[in-house]
Amino acid sequence: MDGFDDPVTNADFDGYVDDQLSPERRIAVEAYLSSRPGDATRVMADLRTKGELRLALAGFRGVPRPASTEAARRLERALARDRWLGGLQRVAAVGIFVAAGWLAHAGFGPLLISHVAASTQPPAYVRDAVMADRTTTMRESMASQPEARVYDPGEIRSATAIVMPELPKDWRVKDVQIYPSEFGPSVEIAIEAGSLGSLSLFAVRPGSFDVVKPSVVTTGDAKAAYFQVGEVAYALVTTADNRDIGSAAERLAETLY
Amino acid sequence: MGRLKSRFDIVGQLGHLRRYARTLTRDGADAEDLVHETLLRAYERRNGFRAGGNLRAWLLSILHNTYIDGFRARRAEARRVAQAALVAETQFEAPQEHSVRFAQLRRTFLSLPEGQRAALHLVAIEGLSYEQAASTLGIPTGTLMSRLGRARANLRAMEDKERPIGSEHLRIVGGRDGWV
Repeated sequence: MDGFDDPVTNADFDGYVDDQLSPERRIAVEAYLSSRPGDATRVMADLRTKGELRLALAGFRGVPRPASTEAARRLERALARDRWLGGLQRVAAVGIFVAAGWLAHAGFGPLLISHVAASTQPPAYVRDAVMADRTTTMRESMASQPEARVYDPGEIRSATAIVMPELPKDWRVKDVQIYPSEFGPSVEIAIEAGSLGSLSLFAVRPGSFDVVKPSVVTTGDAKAAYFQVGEVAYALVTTADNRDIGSAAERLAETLY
Repeated sequence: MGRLKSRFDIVGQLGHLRRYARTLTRDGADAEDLVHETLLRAYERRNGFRAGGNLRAWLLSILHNTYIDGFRARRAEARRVAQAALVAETQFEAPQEHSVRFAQLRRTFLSLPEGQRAALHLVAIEGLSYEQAASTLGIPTGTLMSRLGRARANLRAMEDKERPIGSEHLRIVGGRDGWV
């Protein structure tokens, strides 16, 4: 025949237009089309439409929001970091084996640290959390400052890139506010937390990646249980004498994994 | 740092993501929401990205899945398509002499069934191979090819239908818009 055996089909025309054919097959299709003006017209029209469609949609500007760019940067950083950590993993695994051996050898006794309340400085966002709690309490007492009772974690997340923990069923949201903070927008939720009484949950992106287990600090008349999961830090703040705030924070933290 | 960053250039993919999101949602604001949700999801699932894999194909497939998993349903109630299409048309910037035909082509393209629209977008606009596009959409390559074939047949049919109107008439409507 004309140097090709497989019959040329409609799928070949599409493959030609989409540049998916091997060089041999492209030539075969071109040889076929060169003697069939009807099919050639169709293929040229498809090629034109494809080119025009590219141009027509390339002009799409959309409504870019800084939050998307920030989310993209965050993903970039995370991918680069994971790659770096992946390299460290082997080193770390060796380290863990060595440490485990050492611990076993030491018979655990001398190396176990007794449980003490650490008195390290709380992270800076805790101060913002306490301030947010005070502001919310002030708002509560003002008739002209309406409370926002609708709690939409999905919207909060898409607007601020802050993931909120799942609240226990018996907790009632009294007020949801977005406040400015030293680290950018923060979320402040006033909650009637059943047996725990009134407390507020504060969340912010402090600009660093960390995993911090809940710790309780007292500043002035307020008590805060703060923790961080990934890029978002949280603080439960209460002014009541409340012992369970630490375990409440632990429960919240667990819902984030 | 700069070297590592360029290896995972997500910001550079935003344009591609926005375009594909726009093709799926047919609305500018929805497209941006979808892109944002996609990036959050990609962050959570970044362990699924294989080193040396195709970053764009990976992101496009997450975007597609995000759209399928409820985004579409949530938005369908929230917005009226007709209104959205009007608003969205202002979000394009195209060379003036082509704008009428481009606008018409966009309308035609966006009115294709979703499956055909997605297939044509990934292959014709993003330039993915049939295999990459099929895996992005989670369908067999044969299905992808038949959707492409049908999408093209639909575009041709719609174009044939519009031809009798005549290009001069269209130019007057789009170019002068009632000023003459």
